Parts: sequence; structure tokens; C-alpha cells
Amino acid sequence: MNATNGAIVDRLSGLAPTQVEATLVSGSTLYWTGSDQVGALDLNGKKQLWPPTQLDYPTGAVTSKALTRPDVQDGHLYVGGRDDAIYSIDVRTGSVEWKFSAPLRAPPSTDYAPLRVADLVMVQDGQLTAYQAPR
Amino acid sequence: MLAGVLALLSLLLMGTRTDSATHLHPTEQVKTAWTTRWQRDTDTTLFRSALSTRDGEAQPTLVGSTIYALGSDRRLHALDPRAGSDLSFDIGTGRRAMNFRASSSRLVVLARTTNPATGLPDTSLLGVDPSTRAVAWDQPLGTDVFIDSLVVDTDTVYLGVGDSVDGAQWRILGDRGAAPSLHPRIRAYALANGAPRWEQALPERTDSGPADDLGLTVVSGEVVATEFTRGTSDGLVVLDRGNGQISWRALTGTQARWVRYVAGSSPWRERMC
Repeated sequence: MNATNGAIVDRLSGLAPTQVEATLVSGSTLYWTGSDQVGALDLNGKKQLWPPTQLDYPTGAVTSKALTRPDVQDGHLYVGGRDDAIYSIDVRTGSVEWKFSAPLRAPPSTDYAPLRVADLVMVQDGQLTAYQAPR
Repeated sequence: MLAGVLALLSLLLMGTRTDSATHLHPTEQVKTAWTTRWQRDTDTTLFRSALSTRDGEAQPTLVGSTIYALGSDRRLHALDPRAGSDLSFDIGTGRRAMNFRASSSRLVVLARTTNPATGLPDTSLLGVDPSTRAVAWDQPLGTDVFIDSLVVDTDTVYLGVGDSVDGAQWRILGDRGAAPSLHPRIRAYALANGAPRWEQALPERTDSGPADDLGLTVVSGEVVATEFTRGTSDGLVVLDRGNGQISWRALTGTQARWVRYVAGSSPWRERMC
């Protein structure tokens, strides 16, 4: 939408799920999370950069947990999955580089994006915990 | 006998599957470097308002070499990322931090106490100098506040406010379809010294219930307010960032999503989608 007058200048329909949980723009790329998936859209070319990446998710038991908001830093996207794990995704390819279990993560703070600081990954739930990032 | 054992095994396996996750990606084993030991604050009187019924969403933020985080003890913490050592902020006796946003020059904090006369929370907007952790300015709001509407750009703080009423009574009226509007409005304050810049009332709606939540997004020269009633977007009101004048409205269910914009020199700029 044109922020000055509200006119719709473009539509990105069909490139992401209708129920997107969170979005993040870095450069000309819009990253989204939703339905246990992470995707990336090239806003200039109006196309997917890679097929949505499927994360692990709980099976069987009904859970109200959602993915965390994503964060992008130095070519990596960090997000917490519904399986209580923190993921690093290569933003060029969409491939999962690693994941580790962060069992302290619990509602109501699952909305916070993991924060990468040097070789640590910070995760906040009731407490803030720093994990050594996998190499 | 054998059938019984097999049935029991089957049940056990099903139980295991129920509590498991898919395994598309291997799980790495990692070490925990440190974790905080915050004592959870359970004072529920801080939420007896209509527009702030829960803690704010405050993303841990790195500014320079310090991490700022809002603890479950409702204090703002400055942490050394290497060791986790913690310097909490003193924002005033009895005050609790409910939300915050960080910029390189100021930490902006929504702080609350309970008013002994009314029993309702009093909310203040504070500007904190990150280099000294001292309160640089302090603006009592005199109203209720939409707890997650706080937005900070390079020189201005924006937030949504509304009338301060007892939240429980207001919601009972809402269940009967009789809750009054709390007259939502947007305020702007100077980031440097907290001076009020403008206040703009949002147009009253007759086609929806009274707004009980509000999100703000800053997009280039505009401030975009999305009003919600019971979790459903009531559309957008777009205001001029400089003077608060309403530029245009979209009364459909359109919602300005909180799109973090991480490139460039202003990492917390946001775009509208």
C-alpha cells in the first residue's frame, strides 16, 4: 500500500500462506513464518527465493504454541519452532543449518525472536538464557 | 497373553508418538552459557485497567555491547552478553517496568504503580540514558495505555492511549454490548526530553465495538494505527508523523503488520504490509 494515500500498489497474493504469523524485511527480502514453515519473498522480483522450509513440529498432542518471531543477522535467519528448538536457516538457500533444543522456552514469551550475539544465542522465556551456538 | 502384551506395547508406542515431534532436522547438543534468575513479579493490580491486561512484548535488544531485556520481575535489565552479569535499572520506588523500546540514545520505558486512591494503575513514560542508566525524563500519562503500541524512531516516541477505567467492569459491559468507547488516541513525545509533540484522537466507530487493542507502525512519513476489537482488526488510521493529522483511513479488516526492517542504519524501522 502507498503509505501516503492508501492506494494498493501491489499484491503478493499466492506467495505466502494466508495465515502468516510474523514477517520481517531485510533489504529487499521479506521473510515470513507460519504453519511450521519459513519462507522468503523477493520484493523486487515478487517471487519466492526458495520453497518454504518445513520445520519440525509436535505430533499428536494439540498445542497452542506458535513459532517465535524471526530475526535475520549476517546471512542467517533465527527462529524458535513449535518443537521447542531454535533454528538457524541459511537465507540464501532456505536450508536448515542447525537446530538445538531450548526446553526452557515456554509461553507466554515464545513470541520473542532468538537474539544472536557473537557465538551465543539468547532465548527469553520467563528467564533469559544464553546458549553456545552450534558451529 | 501375547495379544495383551502386544496391545500394551502398542498403547505405549502411541503414547510416545503423541508427545514427540517430527524429525526432519537433527538436534545439536549445545551448552548453556548462562541464565538469569529473575524472581517473577505477580502483582496483578498493575493490570486492573481495560487496555493493558498483560505484560508487554519486549524483545531483548542489543545496543552497543549491552543486552537490554525486560525481566519477569518487571525490571529492566542491562546484561553483559559474555557473562550474563546484570545491572538492573532503578526507575523509582514501587514502579514496575511493563514494556520498553531501545534506541542508541534512549531507552523508553512504560512504568506502572498502583494508585492507592483509585486502585487502578498509574502509567508513566520514562526516558532512560543507556550510558548512565539514569532516568532522563519522566512523563505521567494520566491515561490508560495500549501496552504494546509503544514505538520509537530516531527522535520521537509514539504510543496509543485511552481512558482509564476498571477493566473487569468494562469487559462485563462489553459482554452485554454496552461498553463505552475509551476514546483511543495517539500521542507523540520527543525522544530526547519527553516533551509532548502532538495528540490525535482516532475517529469514533459506530460499525464496530470499542477498540481494546491497538498497534502502531511507523512507515516513512506516516504513523499507522491498527485498532482491534476482541482480536479482530477494525482497519487502519494513518497519521502524519510530524503533526498527527489524519491522512487516510481504511475501515476494512486491513491490518498493518509489525514488519521489522533490519537493513540500513535504523534497525527498528518498520514497513507496512
